[in-house]
Amino acid sequence: MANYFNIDDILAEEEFVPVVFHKAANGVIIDPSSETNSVEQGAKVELPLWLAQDLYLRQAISISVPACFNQRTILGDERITDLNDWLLDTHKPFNALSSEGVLTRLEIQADAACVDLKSRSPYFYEFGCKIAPLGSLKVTSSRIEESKQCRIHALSLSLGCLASRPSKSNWSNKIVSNWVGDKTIEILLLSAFKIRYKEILTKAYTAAYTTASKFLTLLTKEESNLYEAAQVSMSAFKKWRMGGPRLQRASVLGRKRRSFE
Amino acid sequence: MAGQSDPHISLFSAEEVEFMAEDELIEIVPNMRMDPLNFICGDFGPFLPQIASQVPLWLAVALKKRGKCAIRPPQWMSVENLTRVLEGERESQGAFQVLPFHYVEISRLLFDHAREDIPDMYMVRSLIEDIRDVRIHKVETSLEKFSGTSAVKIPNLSAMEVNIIRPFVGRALQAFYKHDNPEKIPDVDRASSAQTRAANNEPRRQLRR
Repeated sequence: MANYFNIDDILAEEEFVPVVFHKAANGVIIDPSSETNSVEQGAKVELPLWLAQDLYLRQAISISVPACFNQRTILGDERITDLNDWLLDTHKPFNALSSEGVLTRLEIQADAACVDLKSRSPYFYEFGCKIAPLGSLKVTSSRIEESKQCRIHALSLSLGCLASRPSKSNWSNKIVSNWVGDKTIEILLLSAFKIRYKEILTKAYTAAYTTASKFLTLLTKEESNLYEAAQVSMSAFKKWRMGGPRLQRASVLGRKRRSFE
Repeated sequence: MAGQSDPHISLFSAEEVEFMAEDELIEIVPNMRMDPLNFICGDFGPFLPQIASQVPLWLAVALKKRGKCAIRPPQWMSVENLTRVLEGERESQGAFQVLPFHYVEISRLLFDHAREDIPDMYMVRSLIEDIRDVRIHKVETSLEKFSGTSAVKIPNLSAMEVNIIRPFVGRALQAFYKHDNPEKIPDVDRASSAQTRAANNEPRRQLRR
């Protein structure tokens, strides 16, 4: 754990992920507004990643893809049409969070450079890299049965809250694909970074700070670190080129000597 | 040699790169008589009036400041050569022309301390500034090209140009590497150690009595 004391690493693990509890837990206050100090089986809550990670490895919960990576937009053609139909549908099956996730992916596909990733998650890349391996763990773990059960449970839950919606035959597919465990997060991160990298590069070395400042608000923490590295080294070079005082006077030399008595 | 500047921003500051450039040899014509100087980096001299000799740049600048010598500008710093280089830089989009590794720093030191020794000083100066701007722009366009490549080769870059792009390129390549090889994320070993714990059906540690 080389990153143990890295503040960015710690903050990235503070991001919330939606989870579903498999087991009831007593004596915990996860939701301050609940009346009892317990979490029921099948409860849907949002936990910080560091907590969710450990509970997940003990198979107490299952993790869904956080809204900012929601995957259902990197799709084949036939599912794109399906998605459009889904977006147009007035009875949206998911809550606002997950439709935001869909939009994030659509926006990244359209023009990654203009997407405000910072508001999605200030540690978009770091968070994604931490979320992605959790999916592969699930595949290797021998408890596929359990995860199936929880999926069915979640399916019934979400169907339950949408009783008004006419059911579709491919409905279960959609919900199952909502869980962590696919490679598309990594693909999404890489494709987003490739495009945004070029934008950062051109802005960092050529644009003046005032014109770039609007762009800066869209950058995640990792990207603005990159931008600042370029900006600082360029301005240091410009300062050196302009010249100026070669030797700086030590701060103590300028002071007046204190008079004693 | 480690830089004294902030290691998180850049390995070397521009001043440190300039310090390293001062070790380059340059020809001077002394106007005084002096015994040979024996340094760790070599022996220089003896110095005789009107007889050219090779010395490190820092020594040349120190002597020049005291009015003890005239500095002969290096071969590449002629108007013809620089015009040729500038044309070459503008014509070829990908490749960089051959220039001394420390051309930015050497030219700046000579412009600062030995103006009167450089023929066509203003012409030379503007040519070098043009060359530098064209090259930096070219570096940026060539950086735009890489996307997830494991190795990058840009020949004939100079020390200062490398130093400017180093912090950015280092971080960018690291990020590309990280996203290209998700299985190599350092987080994995932590996750896999936890995985074995999960597979063993949560072994509970016995409390010692």
